[in-house]
Amino acid sequence: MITNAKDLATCGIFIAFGVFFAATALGTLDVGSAMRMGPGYFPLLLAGLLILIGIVIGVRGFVSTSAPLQPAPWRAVLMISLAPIIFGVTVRGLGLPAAIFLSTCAAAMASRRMSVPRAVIVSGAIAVFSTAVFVYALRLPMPVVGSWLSGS
Amino acid sequence: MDLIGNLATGFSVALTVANLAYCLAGAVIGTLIGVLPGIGPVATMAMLLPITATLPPTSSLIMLAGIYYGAQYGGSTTAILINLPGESSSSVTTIDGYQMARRGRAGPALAAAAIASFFAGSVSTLVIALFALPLTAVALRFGPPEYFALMVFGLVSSVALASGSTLKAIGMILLGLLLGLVGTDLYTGAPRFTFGSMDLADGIDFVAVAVGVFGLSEILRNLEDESPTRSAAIQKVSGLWPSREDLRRIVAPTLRGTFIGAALGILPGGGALLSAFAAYTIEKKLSRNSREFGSGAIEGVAAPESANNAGAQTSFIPMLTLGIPSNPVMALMIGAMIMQGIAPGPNVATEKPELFWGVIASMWVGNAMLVLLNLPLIGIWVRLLSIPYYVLFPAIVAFCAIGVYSVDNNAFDLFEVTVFGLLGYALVKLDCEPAPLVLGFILGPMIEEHFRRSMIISLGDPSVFVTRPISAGLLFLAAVALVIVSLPAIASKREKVFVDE
Repeated sequence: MITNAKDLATCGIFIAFGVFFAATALGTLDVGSAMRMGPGYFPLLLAGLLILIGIVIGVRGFVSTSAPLQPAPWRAVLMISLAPIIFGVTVRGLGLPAAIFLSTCAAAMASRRMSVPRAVIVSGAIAVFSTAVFVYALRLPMPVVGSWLSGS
Repeated sequence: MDLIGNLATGFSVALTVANLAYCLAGAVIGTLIGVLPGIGPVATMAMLLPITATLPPTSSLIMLAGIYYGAQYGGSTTAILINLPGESSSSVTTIDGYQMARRGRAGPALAAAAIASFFAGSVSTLVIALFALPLTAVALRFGPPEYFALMVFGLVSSVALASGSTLKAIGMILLGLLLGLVGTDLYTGAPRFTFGSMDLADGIDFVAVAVGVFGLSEILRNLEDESPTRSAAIQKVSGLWPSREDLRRIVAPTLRGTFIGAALGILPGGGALLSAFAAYTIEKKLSRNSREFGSGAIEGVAAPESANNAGAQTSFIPMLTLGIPSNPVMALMIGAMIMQGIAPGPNVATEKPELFWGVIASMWVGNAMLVLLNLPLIGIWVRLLSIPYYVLFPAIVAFCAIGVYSVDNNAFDLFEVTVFGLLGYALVKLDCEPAPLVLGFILGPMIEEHFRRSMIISLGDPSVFVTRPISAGLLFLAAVALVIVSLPAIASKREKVFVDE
């Protein structure tokens, strides 16, 4: 059978989001009437349209073809997703330089051309540079030494 | 005359030492990221948004605007010298610009690009000044139905002008609108789609969405293929000045390019990329030297370069006069205004004339700075290209994280970055353009507010949108635009246009 994998996946994502928003709107919000709209009216309308578009794309996906999906760089996807989370979890406790260093190390390892020593050097340089620029030059209110380290 | 008085106000604001410095900073940062592939103006502006929030409103907008048009200049430099467009809007310039560079005429190509851009920038600054007040006057008479219709028109035309599948773009808009509605309902105070999370009560953070969708997902796309593509073989640039013959040849293309760019830039979703492409295509048809196109015609550099600069600048018109963003960059400018406590819309011109005209005047100042900055400093910009990507992208990730965190000092925003980075990347892999999603996200709350107000005025009768002439006209245009892009003949041509890029 000829199918368009990209269209079918898009259809799935759109319908999933549409159903999610529609069900939440119906379940937790007052929809109201056209005359007196509740907080759920407009989201329900949009979610309905999104499901409709999803279905049309899905139908089209069964009758057309697409170029095959390129494989995703899974290592990069994992490491790049981790980096902001590491930064968010550690910035208050460890302070800006350490949080930047750890998250940048993770991000750097996303590249297949990266080795551990190189990642450490690059991340160290970025940590020093951003602390100088953001904390000392631009005076953003971020701790240099976090609460976990200063014992408070 | 009013115009002269207004421009005088603008220049008195733009020419203060502090604002000159911010304008220069914006232009330099813009050129820098324009030269570096893999990071665009949207991600940069999103990163710097929290920092500019500490500046006075006018200075922050001047600097952000500088980043945008600076990136257009920077992008063309690498397009000509190493056949690598730093920004997508310079991709057309590579065709003839790189050929000129290979024949040892890099200097005249760069000069032609700079002169054409400067001319286009100056003219479109005037265009903005001329059109801004009349449009503002019209917009002040708009009621909720007109605003609703205008936003629908804006969103639909962003679909028409986006690349790829129309249906997917509409889906992305709807998804963006829905995500924009997350948070507290303005009318009833009811929390929507927050699942009791206090972090979501104020809605999803816009900076996090922009950084995730444009920043992280772009990095992931670049990491798909890590084979070294950048050639270090850069010819020495000599003989910068174009000959008199060159200058004569670029006059008409620059004029036409400026006109095309200025016209297309105003349209929602238009802006720099489409303008450059249209100008090149038209020039190729009109030019007496059309045989030379593709093998180093200077017209093929001047036309798209003037058009992309003009388009980049006139896309400020809907943002400044109506408060409606026509592309993601303008959405960020609106985000910057909101963070500064300014309500975007037609009132800005009357209530904050020094901001309105100051930003407009600063564009001309910034363009002049860019000419002075770019031509002599080309050597330095080019050297930046030797920074390997594996050093660059961790730094981008770090700056993104700091930028997002500094908005609210809230770690939750960083988790949103990851979520939207992954969502954005997945959707891009499925050929769904992220720009309509971000436009929808910004417009979501506004469009709902005007929709609900209109329905209250009309006592629940939806015909209000078609019985008021301006609103009916805008919705009619939106419908026509949708029909046109869905016609099979146009659709296939459209695909071809965006493949040719």
